[in-house]
Parts: sequence; C-alpha cells; structure tokens
Amino acid sequence: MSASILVADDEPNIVLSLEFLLKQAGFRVRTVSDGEAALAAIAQEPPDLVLLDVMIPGRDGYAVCQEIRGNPAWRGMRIIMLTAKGGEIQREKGLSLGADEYVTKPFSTRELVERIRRMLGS
Amino acid sequence: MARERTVSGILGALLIGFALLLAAGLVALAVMLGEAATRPVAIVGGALVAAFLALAGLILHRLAWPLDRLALDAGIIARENPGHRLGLVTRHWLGRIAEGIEAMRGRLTSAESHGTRALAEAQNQGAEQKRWLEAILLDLTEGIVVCNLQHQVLLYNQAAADLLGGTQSFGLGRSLFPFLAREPVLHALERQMQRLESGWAAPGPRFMCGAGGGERLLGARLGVVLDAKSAPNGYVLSFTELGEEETALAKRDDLLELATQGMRAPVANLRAAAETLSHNPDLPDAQRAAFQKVVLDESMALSNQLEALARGYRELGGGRWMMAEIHTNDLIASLNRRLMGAPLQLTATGLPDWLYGDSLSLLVLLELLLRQLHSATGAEAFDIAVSRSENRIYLDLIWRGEPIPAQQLGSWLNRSLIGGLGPLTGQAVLHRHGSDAWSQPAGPGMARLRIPLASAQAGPSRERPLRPQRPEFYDFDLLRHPVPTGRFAERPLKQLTYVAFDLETTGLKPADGDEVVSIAGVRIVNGRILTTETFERLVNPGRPIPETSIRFHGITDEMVRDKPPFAMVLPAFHRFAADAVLVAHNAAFDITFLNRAGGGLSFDQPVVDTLLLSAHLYPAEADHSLDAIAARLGLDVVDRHSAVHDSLLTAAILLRLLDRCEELGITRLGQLIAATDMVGRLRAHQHGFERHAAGSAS
Repeated sequence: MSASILVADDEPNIVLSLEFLLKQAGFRVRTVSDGEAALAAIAQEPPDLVLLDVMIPGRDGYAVCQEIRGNPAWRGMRIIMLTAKGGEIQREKGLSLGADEYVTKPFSTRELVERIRRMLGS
Repeated sequence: MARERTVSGILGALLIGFALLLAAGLVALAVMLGEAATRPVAIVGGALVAAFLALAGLILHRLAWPLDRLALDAGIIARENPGHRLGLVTRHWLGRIAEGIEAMRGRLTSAESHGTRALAEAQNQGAEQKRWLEAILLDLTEGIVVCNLQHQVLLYNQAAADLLGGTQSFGLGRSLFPFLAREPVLHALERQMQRLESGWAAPGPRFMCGAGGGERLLGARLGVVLDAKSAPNGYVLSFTELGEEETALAKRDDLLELATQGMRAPVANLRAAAETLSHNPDLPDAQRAAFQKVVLDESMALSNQLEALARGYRELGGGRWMMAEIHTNDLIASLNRRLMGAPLQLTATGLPDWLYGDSLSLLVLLELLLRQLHSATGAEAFDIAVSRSENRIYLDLIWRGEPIPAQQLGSWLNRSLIGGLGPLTGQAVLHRHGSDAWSQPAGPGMARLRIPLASAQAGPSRERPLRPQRPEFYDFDLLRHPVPTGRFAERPLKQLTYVAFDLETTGLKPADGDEVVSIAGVRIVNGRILTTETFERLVNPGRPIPETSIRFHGITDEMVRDKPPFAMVLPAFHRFAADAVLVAHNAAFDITFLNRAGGGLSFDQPVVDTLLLSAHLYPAEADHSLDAIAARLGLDVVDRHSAVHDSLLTAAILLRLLDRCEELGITRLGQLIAATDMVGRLRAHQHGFERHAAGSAS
C-alpha cells in the first residue's frame, strides 16, 4: 500500500497543487484546513507524513507539531512544516518543536515532492 | 505698660532726692544751732542748693538728655532708618561716643545700600536667567520635567504640560505619576542609577512610556541630577509624543510583513499551479482550467500587493524602535526585584552577555512568563540561563517539569502586558525584537522556555589588551596534595561544586615579591555557572603596581589605596570556596599566592587546572592560553572590563572540557586529576623547568 500524506493548509490554491502532485506521485493524500481537523485526521488514521502549514487557523502548526511529537504512538511520523514565515528564529522554533524539515514558501513543488519521496523511502 | 526708663529720668530722680536731703540737712543744722544761726545757715544753704541745682541742670542737659536722644536715634537707625541723622544738641558731654555712633551709622548706610544694589543685581540676573530658561523651555517641542526623588514636579515646560494633560491638572509640587506611567520611569531611573554606579554619567537610552492614562505613548529620556556631593537628588525627564513615529514604525513592520511573508503564500500558490501546468501538458480540460484560474487570481493578488507595498514605502517616514544594549545581569537583577515577594526563586546561570532590545518590555514579558509558568506547572525554582550562538543570545527559563504546549504559550503571549506599555501584547514585544518563544525539553525531567534575542556585538565595554601568557607553573605538590577524598572522588564530575577563580597581580614573579591586586571567582553548581554567586575584591598589594601590569588588568594604585591587604581578604574567599573544587587556568600560579598568604588558612580542596586539562584533551593543539581555548571552543565573555571576566571564562571552559571528558570516559575527579598530573609532568619535562614555581616561590 502506498504511503499516506496529510496536507494541513488553509490556502486552497496551494492545496490544489499539492494534492494533485502528490497523488500523481503515487501517494494517498488527505487534506484539512485547520489544526483541530489535522489532529482529528491523524488520530483517525495516522499518516506517514504531515505537510503542516504554520499559520493554519485554530491550533497553529507549531502546536500541532508539538502534539504529534508528544504522542509516542506517532513517533515515526514525519513532519514537514510549510510556512510564509521565513525567519531563522521561526525555523529554529519549528525544528526545536520536532519538525523534520522546515520549508519556506514559495518553494519548488518538484523539489518538495522529491524530498517527500526520499523521506518516505519510496 | 511699663514706662520706659531713660537716663534723664533716673538721673533727675537721683538729683532731686539729693537736693531734698541737702535741704533737710540744712534745716536740721539751723534748728540745732539755734535762732542766731538761722540767718547765716539760710544764706549759705540757699547758695549751696542753688549751686547744686545749677550743676544738676547742667548734668541733665549736657549728659542725660543727649544720652537719651542718642539711645532713641540709635534705635531708629538700627530698626527703622539707617539714614536717620543724630539729633544731638551742639554742646554735650558724650565726647566720642556720638562720633562712634555717627561712624557706625555711615557704615551701616553704605553696607545696606551696597546690599540692596547687590540684591537688585542678583534679582535682575536671576530674572534674566529665568527668562532665558523660560524662553528655552517654551521653545522646546520636547516636554521637560524636573522631579525630586519623591517624584514631585519641581519644574516643567508648556510642552510637558500639554503632553501630560494640560496645566489645570499638572503642576509644581504634584506627583508625576498620575500623568506619566510609573513603571517605565522607575525602571529608567533604576537603570540610570546602575549606569552611574558603573561610572557612566551620560543620559540613558530612550524608552517608551505611557501618558494620560495610556492614551498616549511617549518616547522619553532620563538623566539623574546630582547634588554638590555628587549624590543623586532628582532627575530630568525629556519626552516627545511617539504617535507619529510609532505609526510609521508600525507601517514599516506591516510593509515588511507584506513584502516577505504576505507575498510568500500567493507566490507559492502561483508557482505550484504554474509548475503543475508546465509539467503536465496533457491535463484534462477541467483541471487545466482550475490551475489557470489559480494563476490568474494569484497574479492579480500579487499585483495588488505590490502596489500597496510601493504606496506604503512612499508614505513611510523614518524612525527606529528604541532598542539599546542591555546587560543580561542588569536585566536579571531588575527581574528579581520585580519578583520580590512572589514565591519564585530565580537563579541566573550561564555567561553574562550584552543583548539588544527594549529593556522594560522584555522585563515585563519575562515576568509575565515566569508567573504563568509558576501557576501552570507549580514550579517555584527557575534558572534563567544566558547562552550565545553566533549573533544570537538565548534567554532560557528552565524548570523541573514538562514543556508548555505551544497553544498555551500562545494564549499567554496574546494577552496585553501591564506596566505602562499601552496595549502591547507579549507576542508584539517578541515581534518587535524579531523573536519568538517556544518550550521544549531541556534534559531529563527538565523543560525550558526559550527566547532568542539579538546580541549587542559591541557592548559598551572598555577593551583591555589580552593578558600576556603567564609562564607555566608546575608544582606537583600543589596539584596533587588535594587528593580527591570521599566527598569529591566518586561523584560525577558535572555534579561537583566548583569555584573558578583568578588573581591579578603586580607581576608574574611571586618569588621576587609580586603581590595580589585583585581576586575574583564564580561558583559552578550542577553544571551551571551561577552568574550572581561571584566573589570580587580589590587588594592593596603594599607596593606600587607597575605600569606594565596596569595595562593588562587596569587596576591602579589609586584604586587599591584604601583596600585591605590580601591576608585580610583571604578568609572571605576561603568561605566562598569552602566545599568546592578549585578551578584556575595555570592553577599553580594562583595557588602559590593563595597558600603563601598564610594566616592559618589552608586550601586543601582538589584543584583542577584548565590549562593542563585542555592540554590533555587536545594534545595536538599548541596554544592552551585562556583566550586560545576560548576561541577554539567558540566561547566569549563580552565584558572584558568585568573583574570576574577571566573567572567566568575559566568556568565556561571547564564546563565544555568536562563534556569532552565525559565523551572520553573521564567521569570522576580522581581520573581527571591523575590525567592532568601526567600532562603537567610531561609539559614540565618538555619545558625543562620542573618545580619551577615551587622552587622560586618558596
């Protein structure tokens, strides 16, 4: 079975592209647009990787990331944070809270998909 | 009312009494001598009485009346009119008394007219200076207020009154604080006092201060007024309204956000859609149309944002946030004062440093975070650890327990801060500092809340040249005699208590009579440098300090003139270092001075030499001076002027070297001392002067 990815972002236009490209790359993709929905979707069926926008409504990306890392059952889950916040300190904050990667918008969709492929070993 | 006694009254009464006695005596004489003598007695007696009355009249006229006149005139001169002239009859018997009083009257008149002239001149001058001052103050658009230390207004200008709510309510003798927020002023005053103690008399940096009950935000500056004995007795506040400046800054921030973060999302959307279209030429029509719409929408959005950005920049004025260099020790000391009475224990650890920020808002934020952490976790003991990474200073609040969830921290940071800062939130303070805050684990069972801040690269430090390398001293008795005993030997190295210390001396040759001029140390407990547990004393060496030494430590004869000799300082240091392992760089040098001072004190605890330890751990390196090791380990203590500078650096080096020791399996003090002892012997052998110090010092 192919790896599953949860995209948590409230920007429908980026979700449109990411969903299309990730599905095209053979992943199973679900999308949500706020923090609570992200945690609910993870609890329902833990994905292999979460693409997590920092500035989502409700619980922000940092809080969701910390929540995931606080649950031992989700230890193997990979987290890539996507953000329009480009500062070094925000990057350090994301990585300190447990993100595997911190990607600043705008990014190359092709490179992102490549990176996800490598992280999931597919 | 009693009648005033006059000379003429008294003398007149006496003369009349005497005349009556004389007449009575004559009558008695006539009766005793019989009728025949009545006639001659009457004639002689009448002549005698007439002569007496004539004399009495003369005395009264020439002496008594002039004296009374003189007394009256002197009274008028003294009390009412110095110009009053003496109204004496031309012939009197007062001789030079009248002349003397006349001369005194002349002097008094001229002194008074001189005094009046001088007073008038001074009044004129004062009035002119007052007019000048009024003109200057009136002309200033800055508000100026002078207060005493009870914060009563002693002087102010119209601009101040206008900014602080009008002259109807604001005025002389009234307290400043209903009109200006108390906390920022008190904080600026406290900081300025600290600066004065450190010898900086220049006015402090600008700070923000709320006025008119929080309606207005002012940018203020405070200078302390000193009395004739250089003791603070008041302060001058100058301030302007920040409204426009502030608005410009807020706009600039909005623009920057628009230019960076605001554009990232639409560009990302655009790029993703464009890449999808370009990499998938055979998309079904429906999907192609959807992606094309994204490209169109996002391009429009970007164009609009770009326009807004350009418009904003055109309208933007200048201005900067009021950031200043802040020493972390000052910040932590102020924080401790604010927390006084709270059930919180705050321990400063790490290497003190200079950061760049707005002191009060950081202080209020740290206080808020500590209080929230306390109520959320129940922890009472917190470390506030300062560390540096390149151009960033981390302030870490560390406690025993779990990290704080990001959402909870976010809710604390979104509350308005108190303390005269208007409606600022903690997040706004962090944002203004280009910072953010987060909580994460900090070792087993410990958690931290981290705030990264910009470092002030060049703090206002007084640079001094690097100390020349001291000759290496070897004295194996000194290094070995404190063989680690039970209480030290088996505890893990990081759990021991250490005192890193450093001496400054008149020279490098204890055997030639060189003496200590200062001693400084810092305690290290559980792997933390306790920044506030330091020991600093100047010492009178009892001999002149050579210019060559002053260049390096900056301690002059003048500075140590009234200081005690080393033997008197040593007991206090002995107590400070009790139960701790001593740490020094090139320790034999310092230990030689410690033990030579005598006084019945012995330092029998183990000694760790960071020079030998570094040489053991990094045998390939040639230079093991304090500064070379610090540079290799990326350590820097920015306050070169601080007396504890070298001790702090030694402490920081020790902790880093202990990490390396752990990696190499050296975990107990006995192992460590054995290793450094070996290195010491080797180096001494290589240098060919084993027991150099012991031999020359004894």
